[in-house]
Amino acid sequence: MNRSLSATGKYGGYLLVLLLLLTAGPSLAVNLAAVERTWTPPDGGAAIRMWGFVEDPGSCTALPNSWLPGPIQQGVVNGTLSITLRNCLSEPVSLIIPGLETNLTPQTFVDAGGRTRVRAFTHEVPADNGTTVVTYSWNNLRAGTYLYQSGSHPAKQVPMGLYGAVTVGRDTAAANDVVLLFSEIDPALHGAAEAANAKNYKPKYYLINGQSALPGSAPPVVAGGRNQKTLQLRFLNAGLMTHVPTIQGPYMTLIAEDGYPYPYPRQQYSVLLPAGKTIDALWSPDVQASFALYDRRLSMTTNGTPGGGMLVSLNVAKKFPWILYVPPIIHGGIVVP
Amino acid sequence: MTTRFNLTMQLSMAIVLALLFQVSPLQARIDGITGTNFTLSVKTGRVFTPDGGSILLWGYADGAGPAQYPGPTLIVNEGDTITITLNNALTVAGANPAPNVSILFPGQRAEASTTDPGVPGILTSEAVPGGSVTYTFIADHPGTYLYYSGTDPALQVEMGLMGAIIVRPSSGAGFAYNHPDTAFDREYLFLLSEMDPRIHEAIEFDGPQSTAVGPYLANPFPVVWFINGRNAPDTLDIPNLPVLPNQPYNSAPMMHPGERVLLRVIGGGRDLHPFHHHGNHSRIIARDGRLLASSPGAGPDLSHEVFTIKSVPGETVDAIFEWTGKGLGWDIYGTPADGPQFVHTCVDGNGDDFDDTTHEYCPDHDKPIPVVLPDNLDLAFGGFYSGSPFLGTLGSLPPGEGGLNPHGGFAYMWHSHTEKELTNFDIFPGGLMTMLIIVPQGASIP
Repeated sequence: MNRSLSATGKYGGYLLVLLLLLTAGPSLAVNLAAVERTWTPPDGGAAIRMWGFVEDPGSCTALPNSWLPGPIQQGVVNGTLSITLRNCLSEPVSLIIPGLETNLTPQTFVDAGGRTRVRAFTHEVPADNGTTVVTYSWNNLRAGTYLYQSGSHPAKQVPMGLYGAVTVGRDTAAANDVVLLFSEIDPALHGAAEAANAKNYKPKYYLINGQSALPGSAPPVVAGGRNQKTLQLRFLNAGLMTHVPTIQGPYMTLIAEDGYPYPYPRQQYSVLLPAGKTIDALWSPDVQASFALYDRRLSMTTNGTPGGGMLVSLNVAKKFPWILYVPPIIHGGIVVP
Repeated sequence: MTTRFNLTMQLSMAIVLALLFQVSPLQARIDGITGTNFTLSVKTGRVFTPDGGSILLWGYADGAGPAQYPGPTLIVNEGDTITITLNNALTVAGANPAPNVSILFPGQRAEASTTDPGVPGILTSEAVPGGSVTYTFIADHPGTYLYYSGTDPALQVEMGLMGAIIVRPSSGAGFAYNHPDTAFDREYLFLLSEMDPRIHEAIEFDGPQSTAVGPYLANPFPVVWFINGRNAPDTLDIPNLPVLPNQPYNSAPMMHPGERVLLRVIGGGRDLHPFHHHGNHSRIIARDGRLLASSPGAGPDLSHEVFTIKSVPGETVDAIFEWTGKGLGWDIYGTPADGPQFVHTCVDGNGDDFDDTTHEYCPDHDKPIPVVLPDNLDLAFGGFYSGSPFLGTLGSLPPGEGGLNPHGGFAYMWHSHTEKELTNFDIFPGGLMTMLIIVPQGASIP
């Protein structure tokens, strides 16, 4: 059984038509801003300074407060994604999507020793309080799941929170999809980012989609599609450590890695997800229930307290008449159900 | 790419062997408990490490028995309804009560029974201190699985609450799965794990409410590594050793040339342990209890060879290992030039390049070992050196040397390829390591 992520299949065709109608063309143009925000741990710990991508508010004033991973970008197979970025941070930033091809223009600087060194993988948005905006584009999008992240000083800017998910197309067998983005926060590196040093990286908070489960409380809920409907699980690791997402329930069918389809799918209840990796899996819940999804590397702590961390509840809704199914609407790069 | 085993060849070899040597085709079964109804109890115990360490254990016990690290290996049959009652007999230091405990069964659709439901937990139903919970599941797929605590797993799995499950296929005990290409002659379990003793010490001193344990749990730094709950060299000792009351399982793989050995490799801890087996490559046939098959019923046609098994936390791997000495380029049974006792034949009646009984690789027959053998005066000795480089031969040794290798077998180190894990608290050698001993045909294997 060969499986492809192409959106040219029967249902993918319908999806493509829908996307064409909704976006008036196979392109997705969004405006983002790189901003400083805070993330408040669920255990009542002090708010942590973060950098993140948000929908561009048009200027660097009146920014929202709380940090989350950047908004999900839903690209169209063979279409174009262009992101116009405003920079509200104190240093230059840029945007890259590992796995999607585009022309990169690395930026260099001359260090104290007179050596020319690379600072960024591609052209940057200067740190000018949001005055300049710069556009990044990717053509002929390949179906799959990708991370978008800062391409400038990534050892600092990515752990600071400058990352998000890009989805392109959807497997023809899936009725819906969900992003599960794994990452970590080491508060010690967030106090004064300019002086941050990743060599002592020891995260205290382990997140899925920007949320860390609070020990002793019900875990964060992720919409898990509908009973008897196949769901495409999109696993991404924006952190620096390896994680092993594990589902307590039916097996997953792993279909793609880094946006490349496997020649044959793999039946597993868990996924090896190293840093920077994306995995696509199909999952068909057979009962209306909540299924625990957690990191079997046991990053299931919240500031050292066990029972939290990388743990969500994948809530499967009841079977639903297909005729009432409302496809998600793309609105500024965010999926509004 | 499709690769298939030559089953006919393997079966014919096995039949010839059985006739000539009266060798039972199934030996060296994995230690464990069998049945459909199990009673496990969570208790404390001690894990002893070869550096002299003694680490507090929270372990699953078989009923009234002692806590075990790992928990009892549950060996069940495909299709059976399995019932597991878990008693919480855990005791802890400090003023706070013992925690709830539980079991997760990845890959199984386990449910708590209506008559003994326990209390709801975040990941599964739990047993309160002094209480119990009963789980049931149908072992509807053969394969290698594991179980572990679903209550604060970051702490409780570290403390020792994990174990293996083997579901034997309806095809019979000589098969890993319901396909002839999964047949094996022997099988061994390699349940890999690690411990950070700081966590165990904090729990031992202050109980679960220890304030010291948090930073260790957030960023563990293990310093001891285990196969089947033991560190090398204890891995090689006999099972059920009285001085290791909470570590009943060993890891001492042995085989004859030409046999198919099934390796059941489980990531029981929280770290990846690349499991490197010297001697030959192995062929991965399944992961997470599912054959690497291109379609249902195709058998392990997507199997592939590796020399390091990627063992992922919470995942399982089944691999077939074979060894004949093929490719060494010299005669492992010696040549006439080495002495009259080494004169032997290599009879390849079926044209597979191997002797039909010893599995000697005939193209290398009578090829000399390509080194000048050193004099005993130039050697340092270990207990496993037989005194001879030739399989099944015992050479002369100084008084008091040798003795651990009475069949003149070959020893291959099997170990974590994360080399720092070959230590016991910074003392080399030790840790996640054992030795495969290959003994000649006819030598008994326990």
